[in-house]
Amino acid sequence: MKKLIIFIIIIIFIFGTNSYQELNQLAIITNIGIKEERDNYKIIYQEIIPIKEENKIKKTYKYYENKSNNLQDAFLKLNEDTTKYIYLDHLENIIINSNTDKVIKELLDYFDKDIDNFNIIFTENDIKKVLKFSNNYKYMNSLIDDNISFREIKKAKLENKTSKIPVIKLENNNLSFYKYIKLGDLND
Amino acid sequence: MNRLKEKLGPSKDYIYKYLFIDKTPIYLVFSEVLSSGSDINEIILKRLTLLNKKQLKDLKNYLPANNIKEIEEEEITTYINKGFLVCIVKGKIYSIEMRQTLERGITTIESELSINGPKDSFSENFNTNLGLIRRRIKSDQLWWEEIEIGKSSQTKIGIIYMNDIVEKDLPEKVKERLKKIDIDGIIDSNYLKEELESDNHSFFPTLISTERPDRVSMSLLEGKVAILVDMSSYVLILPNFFIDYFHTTDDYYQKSGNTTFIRLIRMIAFFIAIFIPAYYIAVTTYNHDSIPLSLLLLLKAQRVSVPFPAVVEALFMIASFEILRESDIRMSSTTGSAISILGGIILGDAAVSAGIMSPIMIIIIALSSIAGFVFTSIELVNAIRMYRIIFLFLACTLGIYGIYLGTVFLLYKLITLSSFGKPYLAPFSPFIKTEQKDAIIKTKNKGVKYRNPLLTKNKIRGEYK
Repeated sequence: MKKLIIFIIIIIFIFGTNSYQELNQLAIITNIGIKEERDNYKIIYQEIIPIKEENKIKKTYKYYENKSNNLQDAFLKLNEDTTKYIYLDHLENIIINSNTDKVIKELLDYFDKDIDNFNIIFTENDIKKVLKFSNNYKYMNSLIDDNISFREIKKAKLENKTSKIPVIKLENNNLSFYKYIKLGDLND
Repeated sequence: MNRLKEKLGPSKDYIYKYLFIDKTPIYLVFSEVLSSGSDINEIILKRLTLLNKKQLKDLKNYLPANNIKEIEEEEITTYINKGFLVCIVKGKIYSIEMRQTLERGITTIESELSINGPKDSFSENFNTNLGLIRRRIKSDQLWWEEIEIGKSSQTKIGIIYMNDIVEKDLPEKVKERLKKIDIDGIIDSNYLKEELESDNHSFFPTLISTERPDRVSMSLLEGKVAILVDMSSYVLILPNFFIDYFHTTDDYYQKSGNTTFIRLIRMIAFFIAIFIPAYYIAVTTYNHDSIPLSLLLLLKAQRVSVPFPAVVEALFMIASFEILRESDIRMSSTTGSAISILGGIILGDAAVSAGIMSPIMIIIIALSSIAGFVFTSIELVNAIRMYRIIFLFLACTLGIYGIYLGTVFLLYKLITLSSFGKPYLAPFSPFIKTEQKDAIIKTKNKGVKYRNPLLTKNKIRGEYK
């Protein structure tokens, strides 16, 4: 009996679980931008890299970009771009540039139920300029009073209601809040 | 006499004296090292020369010594080695107590200091120690029983208890356990620990060994049993609960609000000492989403240049800390301070600036080690050190789930532990309401009227009005 217990303990120690990641191997992603044009999806990741400099921590950003005709495929291609592990648990916003409802429907299929703590923002300008606008990754959140998180959109879809989504606009080197859109209006 | 000389061997500290007083031959044998020669000269020899033949036959009633016994021939060597003077007259053998004191007197405490309490400590003499306890408890219900253990050392061991407070069978159980010891020498009281703790299956201690007479007196008044060992300055106290290791004698000499605060800090230190290294490893390798993003970025920035994984760093730090601490204890004070400063500098600054360690790891391990030294009992510090390493291994294989499993295991060990038949987590696990007033939160003295009902039936302490 005692040998059985020792055997089980040794097995647990040797194998452990699979989610062991060292901190240096994580690519922490704060914002994602998705652009949709006639059957073609382009996705941009914004990764944050902290560097230690004499009692201060300086944050620099790195961008990955890829496109495909399917949302799943585009995400897969982005995963192969780096050797780091793409870490999506601390995601802040997803910025979408599109006229239709298709992106959100596909996103509902892609993300698991664990990752739904981010906000959704629409825009009509070029996503790369919007993403690169400010050095603070929370800047876009601060412009909007009433952020809509992905979790609320999921809930609303289950209950067959519509939800309103904010839109921001880049004009004259100035990023600002423009208006709200209802999801049902987008099906053009 | 010749048989005696053969038995005692060639050691030159046994002195054989032959007197011829009033036509009777008298032989005196004693050990120069253990008996005080000046006492023998002044008291015994002077008086012996004044006695006549008739009185010499009945020597017991005519000598001014307080401890004279008549003994057999086989017991002569045992009495000589205890410091007695053996006197052989006309076929009768007497032993007279003439002991010399070989000790350092009553000195101050070195290990369990207190801020405003008494500072005398036990020394190596049995009678002095018993005297220090008797001076504090002058009641006639303070009884003690004597045993002798050890074939070559024949150390005297005393079991002290208060007769009207303690449970009736406890001193007998202790005596039975002690009589089972079959060893050739008991050098110190800590030798008895293994036999007295024979039903203890965990790292945690169930005995307290202390140097302070006031702590022993307080425990005796609660219904515990104290064990005194000759030639040892540490006294053992039985039975103990887990919460007794968080109490010091200072708690009763200060205000109760202050005591509550300090006891809470000790509980927090206990948890910090065990859990923090494991929690840090679990958060940086398995569960990155349980801390906010700014903290995660801070931790990531510190580890950019470190070539090892986090677990190797933690183990290396723990090992160097323990080596430093051990060498610090063994060194004498002239070289000791230089080595500890050197070790601190090496482990601290140089490792960080060389890029081997991240500074956060040094902070965490130092905090955990210092929190472990809050406690006075060295056995509890050792137990904390073992569990810290166990939790570290569990965290590096299974993350926070591993810490959860480790907590369940630790609780299992603590709950099933029993010290002399009493449950270990006593004021909490069988929940005793009257004892809560002294366990962690201490109320004013008006509330502490009752003794622990698991230790005694004589519950009421006294009336505070």
